Amino acid sequence: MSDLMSMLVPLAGTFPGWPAADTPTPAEALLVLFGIPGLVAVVIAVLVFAGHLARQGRGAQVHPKEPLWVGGQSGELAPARAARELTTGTGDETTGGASVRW
Amino acid sequence: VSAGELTPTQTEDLKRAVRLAEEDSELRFSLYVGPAEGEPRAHAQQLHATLTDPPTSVLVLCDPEARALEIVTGAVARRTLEDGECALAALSMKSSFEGGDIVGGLAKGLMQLGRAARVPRTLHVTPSTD
Repeated sequence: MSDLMSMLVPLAGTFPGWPAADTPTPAEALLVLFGIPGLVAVVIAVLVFAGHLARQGRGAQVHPKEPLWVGGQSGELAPARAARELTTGTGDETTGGASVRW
Repeated sequence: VSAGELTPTQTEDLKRAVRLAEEDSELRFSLYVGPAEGEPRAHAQQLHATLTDPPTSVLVLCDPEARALEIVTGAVARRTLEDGECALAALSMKSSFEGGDIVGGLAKGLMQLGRAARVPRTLHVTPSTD
């Protein structure tokens, strides 16, 4: 039997001259065919989920109800300025910047 | 952002981004994250006017519910942080927001604004006028 042909022969038994191998029990066969791949899949899923949780902890979607100020005051208008701002509607006309919606 | 909805790490990230932007640019940065009252741009300009020094201040307003981002620069800040650079930073933040990362997008956008407004150090020696 050539090398190529030997690869095509189903491993129904032990080759002549090889040490005898025990026939696996159905439980061992199930463990090898389903148990180990399942365990690997679970480990991969846990790793992926852990990474997702880590990202979510840093960048979770935010739906605020109370505003947060960083580097500014509370946002309450001073009385004199409030009157001017509320009558003009917008702030300083010389302001610049940008706007986006998503 | 409601303080209860942000983790301490997220809050620190935002504070650090504001601090870095200010260190880079020598401008004053303020971040407001929360609901805008009425039209977001008008509200952002009103808030900007309440800051301690509006001409040198940059206000970033983000309303996640309305999906609105506004950047307001004062008259002095506008000289070093032009509208086009604000628009670029806003687009960068927008891409993060669309991916659901509000805090990360704000932090990166603030640092981008700070870098854009960075004042280069001059090595020239001022000649004496004697």
